[in-house]
Amino acid sequence: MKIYRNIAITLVCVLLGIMLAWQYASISNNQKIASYENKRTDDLKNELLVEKKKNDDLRKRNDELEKENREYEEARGDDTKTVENLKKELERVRIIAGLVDVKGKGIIITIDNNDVASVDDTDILNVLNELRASDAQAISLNDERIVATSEVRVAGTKYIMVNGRQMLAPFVIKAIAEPEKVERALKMIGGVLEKLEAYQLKVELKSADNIVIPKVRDDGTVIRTDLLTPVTSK
Amino acid sequence: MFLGVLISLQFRTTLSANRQKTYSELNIEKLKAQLSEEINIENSLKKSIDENEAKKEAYLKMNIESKNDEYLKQLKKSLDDAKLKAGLTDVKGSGVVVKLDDAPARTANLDPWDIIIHDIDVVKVLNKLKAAGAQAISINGERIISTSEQICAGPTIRINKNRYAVPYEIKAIGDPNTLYEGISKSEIVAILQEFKIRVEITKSDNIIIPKFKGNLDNLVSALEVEKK
Repeated sequence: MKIYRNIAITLVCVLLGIMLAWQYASISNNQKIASYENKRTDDLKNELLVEKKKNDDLRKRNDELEKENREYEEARGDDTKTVENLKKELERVRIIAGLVDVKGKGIIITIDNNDVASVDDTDILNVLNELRASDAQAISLNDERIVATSEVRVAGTKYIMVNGRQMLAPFVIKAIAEPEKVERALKMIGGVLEKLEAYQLKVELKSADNIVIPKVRDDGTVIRTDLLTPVTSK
Repeated sequence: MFLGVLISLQFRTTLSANRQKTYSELNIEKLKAQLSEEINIENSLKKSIDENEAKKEAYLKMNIESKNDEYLKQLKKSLDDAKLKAGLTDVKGSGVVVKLDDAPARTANLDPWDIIIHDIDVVKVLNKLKAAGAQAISINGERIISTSEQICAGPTIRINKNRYAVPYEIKAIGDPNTLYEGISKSEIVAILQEFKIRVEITKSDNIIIPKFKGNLDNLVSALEVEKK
């Protein structure tokens, strides 16, 4: 009789153990699925937001082109009007190309060597990239305007070359951008400032209302287009 | 009795999990549908922008070239030149194409962090190309202009506010030999290859790089012209 009871208890225990394990596995599996799906939902929401913002931008650009076309259309036959429109467009394109001195609200970042470490090209590239990501509209490094083709490289042990010009520390980066936005981006945990400070480089941030950023050196060495052939639209 | 309670508990959690699953799946479906709709809108807007630009160009051509007004012609020439410099023109020429892709598989002795491409890698490759005299650059069809960022956004890199995942195809117009030398012998490429990241560099005589396609107001809205 006793032996049967023992067998029964063993059976029940084994069953219980299996059930517990099963239960546990199913719960953790559910959690895994749920967290995966939550993440997927978040990603999608994010993507959607980015896409909507992009479309807002495209819509603005399209509206603007339509307005320009209307203006040109209205100016048909009226050369003074056409000249006016062309001039307006030319001025803006020249600003975008960096061919005009500009001013505006922004931030000044000064990075200096210390006794042991010196600023290298990667440090500068990181800061410039972070500024661009924070929607800076004009940037200069020691008064060299940063344009699409501006390179940053080390030359020797202490020089940095930008736009083919050698410069020495301290490096003063000026940017026309929202100062708060830039500061937030730079000061992010694990961000650019943290990296610079890890090398004990001296970094100073200062926002200013009236930053002047010079135009690109206009001797044809910085922006070259001799190898580019414009493709006319179909 | 114990068993009974356990079984019913198991049954109930499974049921509720099923219900939850369908709910979030529904949500995902909905979001996907919205996203594809936005992408449709994006494509039609892009098409419209191209058409409007072509219209403007045709209009200017017709109204300026038909006239014998030197000043107008000069103005149009200056505009074309400035657009070329600003990256607002599609261009073609010779140069190199650099393809970057994450390492093909995890390897035991390499840190997963090191075998994927990061924003700073792309920044450095671009910087090398610029130093080697690139006159126009694009990544996955995004024209690089003075304000173009290349910044990590989750598993993607954001360029001109748009996100791109690997592989990255970087095109550069310039002197093909100088560009090839500059990039293939660069420190950054050596480092990437050491971590098994796939780097493929080819010279080409026929590279087409598109113009910048974003909203231009975002590039100048905070800028005031400084008059001396």
